Amino acid sequence: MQLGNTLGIPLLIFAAVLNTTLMPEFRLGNGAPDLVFMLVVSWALLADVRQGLFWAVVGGVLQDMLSVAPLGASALGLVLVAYGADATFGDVHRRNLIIPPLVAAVGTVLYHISLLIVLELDGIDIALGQALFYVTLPTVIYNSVLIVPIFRLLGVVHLWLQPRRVRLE
Amino acid sequence: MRGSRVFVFAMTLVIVVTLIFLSIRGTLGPLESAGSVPLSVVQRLTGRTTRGVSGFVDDVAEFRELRERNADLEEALAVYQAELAELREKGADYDRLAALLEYDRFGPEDREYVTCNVIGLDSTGFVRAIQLDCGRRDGVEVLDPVVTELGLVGRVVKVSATGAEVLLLPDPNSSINASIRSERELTPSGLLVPVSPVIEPGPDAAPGDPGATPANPAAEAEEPEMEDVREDGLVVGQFTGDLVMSYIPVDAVVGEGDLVLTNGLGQSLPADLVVGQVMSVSLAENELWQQARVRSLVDFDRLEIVQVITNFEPVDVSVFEEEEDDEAGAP
Repeated sequence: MQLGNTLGIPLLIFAAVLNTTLMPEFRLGNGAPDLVFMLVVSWALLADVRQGLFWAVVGGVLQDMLSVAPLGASALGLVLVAYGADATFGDVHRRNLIIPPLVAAVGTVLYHISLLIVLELDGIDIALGQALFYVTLPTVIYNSVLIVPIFRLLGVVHLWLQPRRVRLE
Repeated sequence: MRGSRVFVFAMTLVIVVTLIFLSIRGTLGPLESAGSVPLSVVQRLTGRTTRGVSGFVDDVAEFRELRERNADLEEALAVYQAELAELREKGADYDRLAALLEYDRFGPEDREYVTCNVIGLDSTGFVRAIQLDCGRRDGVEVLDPVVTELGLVGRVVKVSATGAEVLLLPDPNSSINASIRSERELTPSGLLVPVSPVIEPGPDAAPGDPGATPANPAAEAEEPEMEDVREDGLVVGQFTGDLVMSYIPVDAVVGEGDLVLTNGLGQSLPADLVVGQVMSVSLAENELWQQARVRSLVDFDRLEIVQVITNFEPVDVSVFEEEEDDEAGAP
Protein backbone atom coordinates (compact mmCIF):
# COMPACT_ATOMS: atom_id res chain seq x y z
CA MET A 1 0.00 0.00 0.00
CA GLN A 2 1.28 3.46 -0.87
CA LEU A 3 2.44 5.69 1.98
CA GLY A 4 -0.21 8.28 1.16
CA ASN A 5 -2.94 5.70 1.58
CA THR A 6 -1.47 4.41 4.85
CA LEU A 7 -1.44 7.93 6.22
CA GLY A 8 -4.93 8.58 4.91
CA ILE A 9 -6.74 5.93 6.96
CA PRO A 10 -6.03 7.25 10.50
CA LEU A 11 -6.37 10.83 9.28
CA LEU A 12 -9.78 10.12 7.75
CA ILE A 13 -10.96 8.20 10.84
CA PHE A 14 -10.09 11.19 13.00
CA ALA A 15 -11.74 13.59 10.55
CA ALA A 16 -14.92 11.48 10.35
CA VAL A 17 -15.18 11.41 14.13
CA LEU A 18 -14.57 15.17 14.36
CA ASN A 19 -17.31 15.67 11.76
CA THR A 20 -19.80 14.19 14.22
CA THR A 21 -18.45 15.70 17.43
CA LEU A 22 -16.60 18.99 16.97
CA MET A 23 -17.87 20.31 13.63
CA PRO A 24 -21.57 20.54 14.62
CA GLU A 25 -20.50 23.18 17.17
CA PHE A 26 -19.80 25.51 14.23
CA ARG A 27 -23.13 24.90 12.55
CA LEU A 28 -24.58 27.67 10.42
CA GLY A 29 -28.17 26.72 9.59
CA ASN A 30 -27.75 22.98 9.34
CA GLY A 31 -24.42 23.15 7.52
CA ALA A 32 -21.00 22.66 9.08
CA PRO A 33 -17.42 22.31 7.83
CA ASP A 34 -16.89 18.86 6.30
CA LEU A 35 -13.35 17.78 7.19
CA VAL A 36 -13.50 14.47 5.33
CA PHE A 37 -14.64 16.20 2.15
CA MET A 38 -11.86 18.81 2.36
CA LEU A 39 -9.19 16.16 3.00
CA VAL A 40 -10.37 14.01 0.10
CA VAL A 41 -10.58 16.92 -2.35
CA SER A 42 -7.17 18.26 -1.28
CA TRP A 43 -5.49 14.88 -1.67
CA ALA A 44 -7.21 14.28 -5.02
CA LEU A 45 -5.73 17.57 -6.28
CA LEU A 46 -2.27 16.83 -4.90
CA ALA A 47 -1.80 13.10 -5.51
CA ASP A 48 -2.60 10.76 -8.39
CA VAL A 49 -6.12 9.59 -9.18
CA ARG A 50 -5.73 6.17 -7.51
CA GLN A 51 -4.86 7.71 -4.17
CA GLY A 52 -7.61 10.30 -4.53
CA LEU A 53 -10.21 7.59 -5.16
CA PHE A 54 -8.88 5.46 -2.28
CA TRP A 55 -9.24 8.37 0.14
CA ALA A 56 -12.73 9.05 -1.26
CA VAL A 57 -13.93 5.49 -0.65
CA VAL A 58 -12.39 5.18 2.82
CA GLY A 59 -13.57 8.64 3.90
CA GLY A 60 -17.06 8.07 2.52
CA VAL A 61 -17.52 4.67 4.14
CA LEU A 62 -16.36 6.07 7.50
CA GLN A 63 -18.82 8.97 7.18
CA ASP A 64 -21.65 6.55 6.42
CA MET A 65 -20.85 4.37 9.41
CA LEU A 66 -21.49 7.43 11.57
CA SER A 67 -24.74 8.47 9.91
CA VAL A 68 -28.16 7.15 8.96
CA ALA A 69 -27.15 7.08 5.30
CA PRO A 70 -26.61 3.66 3.69
CA LEU A 71 -23.00 2.49 3.40
CA GLY A 72 -21.43 3.97 0.26
CA ALA A 73 -23.78 6.98 0.01
CA SER A 74 -21.10 9.53 0.92
CA ALA A 75 -18.41 7.48 -0.84
CA LEU A 76 -20.27 7.80 -4.16
CA GLY A 77 -20.33 11.60 -4.00
CA LEU A 78 -16.71 11.82 -2.87
CA VAL A 79 -15.55 9.45 -5.64
CA LEU A 80 -17.33 11.57 -8.27
CA VAL A 81 -15.85 14.81 -6.91
CA ALA A 82 -12.34 13.36 -6.48
CA TYR A 83 -12.28 11.98 -10.02
CA GLY A 84 -13.85 15.14 -11.46
CA ALA A 85 -11.25 17.32 -9.73
CA ASP A 86 -8.36 15.13 -10.90
CA ALA A 87 -9.69 14.88 -14.47
CA THR A 88 -10.31 18.64 -14.74
CA PHE A 89 -7.22 20.08 -13.05
CA GLY A 90 -4.75 17.20 -12.77
CA ASP A 91 -2.03 17.70 -10.15
CA VAL A 92 -2.31 21.17 -8.63
CA HIS A 93 0.65 22.99 -7.12
CA ARG A 94 0.54 23.04 -3.33
CA ARG A 95 0.67 26.86 -3.21
CA ASN A 96 -2.32 27.32 -5.50
CA LEU A 97 -4.99 29.45 -3.81
CA ILE A 98 -7.66 29.50 -6.52
CA ILE A 99 -8.37 25.95 -7.64
CA PRO A 100 -8.93 24.29 -4.21
CA PRO A 101 -11.68 26.75 -3.09
CA LEU A 102 -13.27 26.52 -6.54
CA VAL A 103 -13.32 22.72 -6.45
CA ALA A 104 -14.56 22.78 -2.85
CA ALA A 105 -17.49 25.06 -3.76
CA VAL A 106 -18.62 23.18 -6.87
CA GLY A 107 -17.71 19.79 -5.36
CA THR A 108 -19.78 20.39 -2.19
CA VAL A 109 -22.89 21.04 -4.31
CA LEU A 110 -22.29 17.91 -6.43
CA TYR A 111 -21.50 15.81 -3.35
CA HIS A 112 -24.66 16.92 -1.57
CA ILE A 113 -26.86 16.35 -4.63
CA SER A 114 -25.49 12.83 -5.01
CA LEU A 115 -26.01 12.19 -1.27
CA LEU A 116 -29.60 13.48 -1.48
CA ILE A 117 -30.33 11.14 -4.40
CA VAL A 118 -29.06 8.11 -2.46
CA LEU A 119 -30.97 9.15 0.69
CA GLU A 120 -34.12 9.51 -1.44
CA LEU A 121 -33.55 6.00 -2.84
CA ASP A 122 -33.24 4.76 0.74
CA GLY A 123 -36.67 6.23 1.54
CA ILE A 124 -35.44 9.32 3.42
CA ASP A 125 -37.49 12.14 1.93
CA ILE A 126 -35.78 15.53 1.97
CA ALA A 127 -37.05 18.80 0.45
CA LEU A 128 -34.39 19.71 -2.12
CA GLY A 129 -34.75 23.50 -1.96
CA GLN A 130 -34.59 23.67 1.82
CA ALA A 131 -31.73 21.17 1.95
CA LEU A 132 -29.66 23.20 -0.49
CA PHE A 133 -30.40 26.44 1.37
CA TYR A 134 -30.00 25.29 4.97
CA VAL A 135 -27.27 22.66 4.57
CA THR A 136 -25.42 23.00 1.28
CA LEU A 137 -25.02 26.80 1.15
CA PRO A 138 -23.39 27.15 4.60
CA THR A 139 -21.26 24.07 3.95
CA VAL A 140 -20.06 25.55 0.63
CA ILE A 141 -18.99 28.72 2.44
CA TYR A 142 -17.16 26.81 5.16
CA ASN A 143 -15.49 24.31 2.83
CA SER A 144 -14.33 26.96 0.33
CA VAL A 145 -12.63 28.96 3.06
CA LEU A 146 -11.23 26.17 5.22
CA ILE A 147 -9.88 24.11 2.34
CA VAL A 148 -7.09 26.68 1.86
CA PRO A 149 -5.14 25.88 5.08
CA ILE A 150 -5.97 22.15 4.78
CA PHE A 151 -4.69 22.08 1.19
CA ARG A 152 -1.50 23.90 2.20
CA LEU A 153 -0.94 21.50 5.09
CA LEU A 154 -1.52 18.40 2.98
CA GLY A 155 0.72 19.97 0.32
CA VAL A 156 3.60 19.86 2.79
CA VAL A 157 2.76 16.26 3.73
CA HIS A 158 2.58 15.31 0.04
CA LEU A 159 5.96 16.89 -0.64
CA TRP A 160 7.39 15.01 2.33
CA LEU A 161 5.94 11.68 1.17
CA GLN A 162 6.61 12.08 -2.54
CA PRO A 163 9.50 14.51 -3.15
CA ARG A 164 9.76 15.76 -6.74
CA ARG A 165 12.54 14.35 -8.89
CA VAL A 166 15.25 16.86 -9.79
CA ARG A 167 17.79 16.31 -12.55
CA LEU A 168 21.34 17.47 -11.79
CA GLU A 169 23.35 18.56 -14.80
CA MET B 1 -2.58 6.09 -19.17
CA ARG B 2 -5.94 7.84 -19.56
CA GLY B 3 -7.65 4.49 -20.20
CA SER B 4 -6.17 3.14 -16.97
CA ARG B 5 -7.52 6.11 -14.98
CA VAL B 6 -10.99 5.65 -16.42
CA PHE B 7 -10.82 1.93 -15.64
CA VAL B 8 -9.85 2.59 -11.98
CA PHE B 9 -12.67 5.14 -11.70
CA ALA B 10 -15.21 2.76 -13.24
CA MET B 11 -14.17 -0.09 -10.92
CA THR B 12 -14.39 2.19 -7.87
CA LEU B 13 -17.86 3.30 -8.95
CA VAL B 14 -18.98 -0.32 -9.33
CA ILE B 15 -17.72 -1.14 -5.82
CA VAL B 16 -19.41 1.89 -4.27
CA VAL B 17 -22.74 1.33 -6.05
CA THR B 18 -22.67 -2.35 -4.96
CA LEU B 19 -22.06 -1.21 -1.37
CA ILE B 20 -25.05 1.14 -1.53
CA PHE B 21 -27.29 -1.55 -3.04
CA LEU B 22 -26.31 -4.15 -0.41
CA SER B 23 -26.62 -1.63 2.41
CA ILE B 24 -30.13 -0.53 1.35
CA ARG B 25 -31.14 -4.22 1.16
CA GLY B 26 -29.78 -4.69 4.70
CA THR B 27 -27.21 -7.33 3.74
CA LEU B 28 -24.33 -5.30 5.23
CA GLY B 29 -25.98 -4.88 8.63
CA PRO B 30 -23.53 -7.08 10.58
CA LEU B 31 -20.53 -5.52 8.81
CA GLU B 32 -21.73 -1.97 9.52
CA SER B 33 -22.45 -2.94 13.12
CA ALA B 34 -18.97 -4.43 13.60
CA GLY B 35 -17.28 -1.47 11.91
CA SER B 36 -19.06 1.10 14.03
CA VAL B 37 -17.89 -0.44 17.34
CA PRO B 38 -14.27 0.86 17.23
CA LEU B 39 -15.49 4.12 15.72
CA SER B 40 -17.91 4.69 18.58
CA VAL B 41 -15.03 4.25 21.08
CA VAL B 42 -13.01 7.01 19.37
CA GLN B 43 -16.17 9.05 19.03
CA ARG B 44 -16.94 8.74 22.74
CA LEU B 45 -13.48 9.98 23.71
CA THR B 46 -13.51 12.87 21.26
CA GLY B 47 -17.10 13.77 22.11
CA ARG B 48 -16.35 13.99 25.81
CA THR B 49 -13.43 16.37 25.24
CA THR B 50 -15.35 18.48 22.74
CA ARG B 51 -18.38 18.76 24.99
CA GLY B 52 -16.25 19.75 27.97
CA VAL B 53 -14.50 22.55 26.10
CA SER B 54 -17.60 23.75 24.30
CA GLY B 55 -19.69 23.63 27.48
CA PHE B 56 -17.16 25.79 29.32
CA VAL B 57 -17.00 28.34 26.48
CA ASP B 58 -20.81 28.45 26.30
CA ASP B 59 -21.16 28.90 30.05
CA VAL B 60 -18.79 31.84 30.10
CA ALA B 61 -20.42 33.44 27.05
CA GLU B 62 -23.96 32.91 28.24
CA PHE B 63 -23.57 33.68 31.95
CA ARG B 64 -25.85 36.72 31.87
CA GLU B 65 -28.43 34.97 29.76
CA LEU B 66 -28.32 31.98 32.09
CA ARG B 67 -29.09 34.16 35.11
CA GLU B 68 -32.13 35.65 33.39
CA ARG B 69 -33.21 32.22 32.23
CA ASN B 70 -32.81 30.89 35.74
CA ALA B 71 -35.16 33.57 37.04
CA ASP B 72 -37.70 32.74 34.32
CA LEU B 73 -37.45 29.05 35.10
CA GLU B 74 -37.94 29.63 38.82
CA GLU B 75 -41.10 31.57 37.99
CA ALA B 76 -42.29 28.81 35.66
CA LEU B 77 -41.47 26.19 38.29
CA ALA B 78 -43.77 27.91 40.76
CA VAL B 79 -46.59 27.70 38.24
CA TYR B 80 -45.91 24.08 37.36
CA GLN B 81 -45.66 22.98 40.97
CA ALA B 82 -49.17 24.27 41.51
CA GLU B 83 -50.30 22.33 38.46
CA LEU B 84 -48.42 19.26 39.65
CA ALA B 85 -50.27 19.18 42.95
CA GLU B 86 -53.56 19.29 41.06
CA LEU B 87 -52.45 16.65 38.56
CA ARG B 88 -51.29 14.34 41.35
CA GLU B 89 -54.79 14.40 42.76
CA LYS B 90 -56.22 13.65 39.34
CA GLY B 91 -53.62 10.88 38.87
CA ALA B 92 -54.67 9.25 42.10
CA ASP B 93 -58.32 9.38 40.97
CA TYR B 94 -57.30 7.94 37.62
CA ASP B 95 -55.39 5.05 39.22
CA ARG B 96 -58.37 4.20 41.35
CA LEU B 97 -60.74 4.25 38.38
CA ALA B 98 -58.29 2.34 36.15
CA ALA B 99 -57.96 -0.32 38.83
CA LEU B 100 -61.74 -0.58 38.98
CA LEU B 101 -61.90 -1.07 35.24
CA GLU B 102 -58.78 -3.29 35.22
CA TYR B 103 -57.59 -1.11 32.37
CA ASP B 104 -54.27 -2.44 31.12
CA ARG B 105 -52.25 0.51 29.91
CA PHE B 106 -48.55 1.15 29.34
CA GLY B 107 -48.07 3.91 31.90
CA PRO B 108 -44.97 5.83 33.03
CA GLU B 109 -44.48 3.46 35.98
CA ASP B 110 -44.22 0.49 33.58
CA ARG B 111 -41.41 1.97 31.54
CA GLU B 112 -37.89 0.59 31.68
CA TYR B 113 -35.16 3.04 30.82
CA VAL B 114 -31.54 2.76 29.73
CA THR B 115 -29.49 5.92 30.24
CA CYS B 116 -27.14 6.70 27.36
CA ASN B 117 -24.57 9.35 26.51
CA VAL B 118 -24.84 11.29 23.26
CA ILE B 119 -21.55 10.77 21.45
CA GLY B 120 -22.14 12.48 18.14
CA LEU B 121 -24.43 14.01 15.56
CA ASP B 122 -25.26 12.69 12.12
CA SER B 123 -22.54 13.78 9.72
CA THR B 124 -24.67 14.26 6.58
CA GLY B 125 -26.33 17.47 7.81
CA PHE B 126 -29.48 16.51 5.91
CA VAL B 127 -30.77 14.29 8.69
CA ARG B 128 -31.19 15.51 12.26
CA ALA B 129 -29.98 12.53 14.25
CA ILE B 130 -27.76 11.80 17.23
CA GLN B 131 -25.55 8.84 18.09
CA LEU B 132 -25.67 7.11 21.46
CA ASP B 133 -23.18 4.89 23.26
CA CYS B 134 -25.89 2.27 24.02
CA GLY B 135 -26.72 -0.51 21.65
CA ARG B 136 -28.26 -3.95 21.36
CA ARG B 137 -26.15 -5.17 24.29
CA ASP B 138 -27.97 -2.68 26.53
CA GLY B 139 -31.38 -3.76 25.26
CA VAL B 140 -31.86 -0.95 22.76
CA GLU B 141 -33.82 -1.86 19.63
CA VAL B 142 -34.90 -0.03 16.48
CA LEU B 143 -38.00 2.20 17.05
CA ASP B 144 -37.44 2.48 20.81
CA PRO B 145 -38.57 5.93 22.05
CA VAL B 146 -35.85 8.24 23.41
CA VAL B 147 -36.63 10.86 26.05
CA THR B 148 -35.08 13.30 28.51
CA GLU B 149 -36.62 14.77 31.66
CA LEU B 150 -37.93 17.58 29.43
CA GLY B 151 -39.77 15.36 26.99
CA LEU B 152 -39.58 13.27 23.85
CA VAL B 153 -36.34 13.40 21.88
CA GLY B 154 -36.95 10.95 19.03
CA ARG B 155 -36.84 7.31 18.02
CA VAL B 156 -34.02 4.83 17.44
CA VAL B 157 -33.56 4.19 13.70
CA LYS B 158 -30.30 2.27 13.57
CA VAL B 159 -28.69 0.06 16.20
CA SER B 160 -25.40 -1.81 16.50
CA ALA B 161 -24.01 -3.90 19.36
CA THR B 162 -22.67 -0.87 21.22
CA GLY B 163 -24.26 2.14 19.59
CA ALA B 164 -27.50 3.52 18.25
CA GLU B 165 -28.65 6.33 16.00
CA VAL B 166 -31.73 8.35 16.97
CA LEU B 167 -33.84 10.34 14.52
CA LEU B 168 -34.69 13.58 16.35
CA LEU B 169 -38.18 15.10 16.52
CA PRO B 170 -37.24 18.20 14.43
CA ASP B 171 -36.15 16.06 11.46
CA PRO B 172 -38.57 16.49 8.52
CA ASN B 173 -38.87 12.67 8.31
CA SER B 174 -40.10 12.47 11.89
CA SER B 175 -43.87 12.56 12.35
CA ILE B 176 -45.74 11.58 15.50
CA ASN B 177 -49.35 11.48 16.59
CA ALA B 178 -49.94 13.94 19.40
CA SER B 179 -52.66 15.78 21.26
CA ILE B 180 -52.97 19.30 22.56
CA ARG B 181 -54.16 19.14 26.15
CA SER B 182 -55.55 22.16 27.90
CA GLU B 183 -58.18 23.40 30.24
CA ARG B 184 -60.86 25.70 28.90
CA GLU B 185 -63.36 27.91 30.65
CA LEU B 186 -66.91 27.13 29.62
CA THR B 187 -68.88 30.38 29.14
CA PRO B 188 -72.65 30.49 29.79
CA SER B 189 -73.22 30.41 26.01
CA GLY B 190 -71.33 27.11 25.80
CA LEU B 191 -68.20 28.59 24.18
CA LEU B 192 -64.77 27.42 25.29
CA VAL B 193 -62.38 30.20 26.29
CA PRO B 194 -58.65 29.66 26.82
CA VAL B 195 -57.42 30.10 30.38
CA SER B 196 -54.45 32.39 30.84
CA PRO B 197 -51.49 30.20 31.83
CA VAL B 198 -49.98 32.96 34.00
CA ILE B 199 -50.53 32.64 37.75
CA GLU B 200 -49.38 35.50 39.90
CA PRO B 201 -48.45 34.34 43.41
CA GLY B 202 -49.90 36.26 46.34
CA PRO B 203 -47.70 38.46 48.55
CA ASP B 204 -47.04 35.78 51.19
CA ALA B 205 -46.96 32.76 48.91
CA ALA B 206 -43.70 30.88 48.54
CA PRO B 207 -42.63 29.78 45.00
CA GLY B 208 -44.57 26.70 44.04
CA ASP B 209 -47.09 27.06 46.81
CA PRO B 210 -50.27 25.52 45.44
CA GLY B 211 -52.25 27.82 47.71
CA ALA B 212 -50.95 30.96 46.04
CA THR B 213 -53.53 33.71 45.78
CA PRO B 214 -55.09 33.84 42.28
CA ALA B 215 -54.59 37.03 40.25
CA ASN B 216 -58.27 37.87 40.46
CA PRO B 217 -59.89 36.87 43.78
CA ALA B 218 -63.33 37.60 42.33
CA ALA B 219 -62.77 34.88 39.75
CA GLU B 220 -62.15 32.36 42.52
CA ALA B 221 -65.39 33.31 44.18
CA GLU B 222 -67.32 32.61 40.99
CA GLU B 223 -65.51 29.28 40.24
CA PRO B 224 -66.13 29.11 36.47
CA GLU B 225 -66.91 25.76 34.95
CA MET B 226 -63.77 24.23 33.40
CA GLU B 227 -63.50 21.59 30.73
CA ASP B 228 -60.47 19.50 29.73
CA VAL B 229 -59.87 19.76 26.01
CA ARG B 230 -57.95 17.31 23.85
CA GLU B 231 -57.28 17.96 20.17
CA ASP B 232 -55.40 15.38 18.10
CA GLY B 233 -52.98 16.15 15.30
CA LEU B 234 -49.72 15.19 13.66
CA VAL B 235 -46.41 16.76 14.76
CA VAL B 236 -43.86 16.93 11.95
CA GLY B 237 -40.29 18.28 12.12
CA GLN B 238 -39.16 21.09 9.85
CA PHE B 239 -35.81 21.79 8.22
CA THR B 240 -35.58 24.99 10.24
CA GLY B 241 -35.62 22.93 13.46
CA ASP B 242 -39.21 23.88 14.36
CA LEU B 243 -42.06 21.48 15.06
CA VAL B 244 -45.41 21.97 13.34
CA MET B 245 -48.60 20.27 14.45
CA SER B 246 -51.07 19.84 11.58
CA TYR B 247 -54.61 18.46 11.13
CA ILE B 248 -56.00 20.25 14.20
CA PRO B 249 -59.75 20.67 13.62
CA VAL B 250 -60.78 24.13 12.44
CA ASP B 251 -63.22 24.59 15.33
CA ALA B 252 -60.69 23.57 18.01
CA VAL B 253 -59.85 26.24 20.57
CA VAL B 254 -56.07 26.14 20.88
CA GLY B 255 -54.08 28.71 22.78
CA GLU B 256 -50.46 29.72 23.22
CA GLY B 257 -48.79 27.72 25.99
CA ASP B 258 -51.02 24.64 25.66
CA LEU B 259 -49.16 21.41 26.30
CA VAL B 260 -48.59 18.92 23.45
CA LEU B 261 -48.30 15.25 24.44
CA THR B 262 -48.06 12.01 22.49
CA ASN B 263 -51.45 10.35 22.28
CA GLY B 264 -50.40 6.76 21.65
CA LEU B 265 -52.41 6.53 18.42
CA GLY B 266 -50.90 4.02 16.02
CA GLN B 267 -49.07 2.49 18.98
CA SER B 268 -45.76 3.78 17.62
CA LEU B 269 -44.96 5.71 20.82
CA PRO B 270 -46.22 5.49 24.41
CA ALA B 271 -48.95 7.97 25.30
CA ASP B 272 -48.39 11.09 27.44
CA LEU B 273 -44.77 11.85 26.59
CA VAL B 274 -44.24 15.61 26.52
CA VAL B 275 -43.59 16.93 22.99
CA GLY B 276 -43.66 20.66 23.73
CA GLN B 277 -45.83 23.73 24.06
CA VAL B 278 -47.91 25.58 21.47
CA MET B 279 -46.28 28.84 20.41
CA SER B 280 -48.73 30.04 17.78
CA VAL B 281 -51.73 28.78 15.83
CA SER B 282 -52.80 29.55 12.29
CA LEU B 283 -55.17 28.24 9.64
CA ALA B 284 -53.57 25.88 7.12
CA GLU B 285 -53.25 27.09 3.52
CA ASN B 286 -56.16 24.91 2.40
CA GLU B 287 -58.22 26.19 5.37
CA LEU B 288 -59.36 22.65 6.15
CA TRP B 289 -57.51 22.44 9.46
CA GLN B 290 -55.40 24.50 11.82
CA GLN B 291 -51.70 24.16 12.37
CA ALA B 292 -49.68 25.08 15.42
CA ARG B 293 -46.01 25.87 15.87
CA VAL B 294 -44.77 23.80 18.78
CA ARG B 295 -41.68 24.52 20.84
CA SER B 296 -40.01 21.57 22.45
CA LEU B 297 -38.45 22.15 25.84
CA VAL B 298 -35.56 19.94 24.75
CA ASP B 299 -32.50 21.71 23.31
CA PHE B 300 -31.71 19.28 20.51
CA ASP B 301 -28.33 20.88 19.78
CA ARG B 302 -27.09 20.43 23.35
CA LEU B 303 -28.18 16.90 24.22
CA GLU B 304 -25.71 15.08 26.42
CA ILE B 305 -27.61 12.36 28.26
CA VAL B 306 -30.85 10.72 27.14
CA GLN B 307 -32.95 7.75 28.19
CA VAL B 308 -34.18 5.01 25.90
CA ILE B 309 -37.46 3.28 26.81
CA THR B 310 -36.52 -0.33 26.15
CA ASN B 311 -39.68 -2.23 27.00
CA PHE B 312 -42.15 -0.42 24.76
CA GLU B 313 -43.19 -2.61 21.86
CA PRO B 314 -44.48 -0.62 18.90
CA VAL B 315 -47.11 -2.29 16.74
CA ASP B 316 -45.71 -3.36 13.38
CA VAL B 317 -48.18 -1.96 10.83
CA SER B 318 -46.01 -2.78 7.83
CA VAL B 319 -48.04 -5.98 7.30
CA PHE B 320 -51.18 -3.91 6.70
CA GLU B 321 -49.29 -1.57 4.39
CA GLU B 322 -48.11 -4.53 2.29
CA GLU B 323 -51.67 -5.84 2.11
CA GLU B 324 -52.87 -2.41 0.97
CA ASP B 325 -50.19 -2.35 -1.71
CA ASP B 326 -51.22 -5.81 -2.89
CA GLU B 327 -54.85 -4.76 -3.08
CA ALA B 328 -53.94 -1.60 -4.97
CA GLY B 329 -51.82 -3.60 -7.41
CA ALA B 330 -54.48 -6.26 -7.97
CA PRO B 331 -56.34 -5.99 -11.29
